[in-house]
Amino acid sequence: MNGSGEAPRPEVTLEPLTRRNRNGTAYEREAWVERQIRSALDLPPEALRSRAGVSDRESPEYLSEESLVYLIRYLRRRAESQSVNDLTAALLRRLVSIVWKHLGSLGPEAVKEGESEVIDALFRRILDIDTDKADFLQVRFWVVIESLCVQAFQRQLRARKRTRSQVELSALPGYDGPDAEQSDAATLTEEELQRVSVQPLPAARLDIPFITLALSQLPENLRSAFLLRHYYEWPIEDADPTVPTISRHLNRTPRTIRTWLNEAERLLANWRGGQR
Amino acid sequence: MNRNSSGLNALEDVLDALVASAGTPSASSPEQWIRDYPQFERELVDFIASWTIMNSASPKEPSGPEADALVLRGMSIVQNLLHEMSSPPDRGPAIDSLLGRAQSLGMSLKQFAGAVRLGQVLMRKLDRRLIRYPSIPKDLLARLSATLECQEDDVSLYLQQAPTLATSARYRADSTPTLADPQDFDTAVRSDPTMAEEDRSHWLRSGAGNGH
Repeated sequence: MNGSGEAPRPEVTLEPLTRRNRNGTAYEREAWVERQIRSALDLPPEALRSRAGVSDRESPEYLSEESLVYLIRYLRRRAESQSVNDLTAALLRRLVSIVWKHLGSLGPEAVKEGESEVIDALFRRILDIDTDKADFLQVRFWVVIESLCVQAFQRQLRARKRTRSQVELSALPGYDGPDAEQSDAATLTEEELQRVSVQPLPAARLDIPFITLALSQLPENLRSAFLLRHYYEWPIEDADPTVPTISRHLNRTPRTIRTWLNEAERLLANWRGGQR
Repeated sequence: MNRNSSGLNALEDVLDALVASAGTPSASSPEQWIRDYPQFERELVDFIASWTIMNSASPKEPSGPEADALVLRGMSIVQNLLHEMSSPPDRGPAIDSLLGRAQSLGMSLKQFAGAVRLGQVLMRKLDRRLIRYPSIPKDLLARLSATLECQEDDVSLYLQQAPTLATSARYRADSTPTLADPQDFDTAVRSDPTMAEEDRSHWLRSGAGNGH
């Protein structure tokens, strides 16, 4: 039933999906998504806006994000700009908490940029009505959102790394100079040893097989700490509360992070040694 | 199976498929994906590394004002995209006049109105866009496009333009037309003296006024 109490018209044929999955078969919408779309196609603008605003997934009036993507494209083809705006706003409201969940750790400025990137990339697909780029969004909407969030997160990490690389090394907190790691380790205290052992690894050691090994072999907590320190060169800690640090990102003490990093390096060295 | 044989050539498709398949970065098996898509080796490693870090962060919740700001920023981005992409309203109308198009196909006003089950008065109002677009039934848009041998979108675009005083078609009028206030479709159906009763019943019964 649609919002006006009428039975959905059986003759309505939805635009087929043509994009293919990795097995080579065309994507297909779930049957319940197609039912939702059909039930909403004939609604007048007010009723459609009202249905798009229903957030209770159990409600019979609820329209899934996959359905909203189809409807936005359908309405855009028909140049019904007010309804396009209404459904776009409804979709954006549903995105807010998920995008924040994924990007919120980046800090207020970066999260703004990240959000904008996600929304831009998402709607470039949805509004491009001459291609099938939005097909997968009508099948697994939240999968695409997660993928877009990762890509936005990645760009922010890279930007941060670039900015940091422009700062003189001597200005970095905890940096003791190029010779520190080569100093007489045998005479260092345990604490000092921990500190020098977690300087970023030289780029030459960070080849793809090494990072792949870290990604596939390290336990999850060690993996994140290792990648942040050595791949993205984040500091473990910083007195400035606005500087993103591994300790803050993972919500662990700097001491715990150092322990994890030492353990990660030890495991990777063992695995690499064993592979030779 | 080599997943690349299926033709997932675009990086964005591969990354979407990776997320869909693995669900979490821990389950992503980077070696397997790099083997299947060696052309994206670096991108896959970067992606899985970032995914791992992103998921390890403590989740954050936006405040009310932050959530509102995101929606507003999002709307602004979408409006810019609509402007940037060649949107339908930016392209020239494919139909200059419903009556003119019908005439060019050899139909009189009476024949055209009859073909779509409308009266001639309502047909003229539609032609002049004096009927509120949201109130026009979708069935009628389909009938109009079929009769005029054009895309439904073209009819839809035409009917959403501003009301006009006269059509480009040269049907005779007894007096100089004036620009009346737009009406809802069901009101126009009820008041059209030239409409056959069975057509009037059809439109009122089929939910005229519910729009499309």
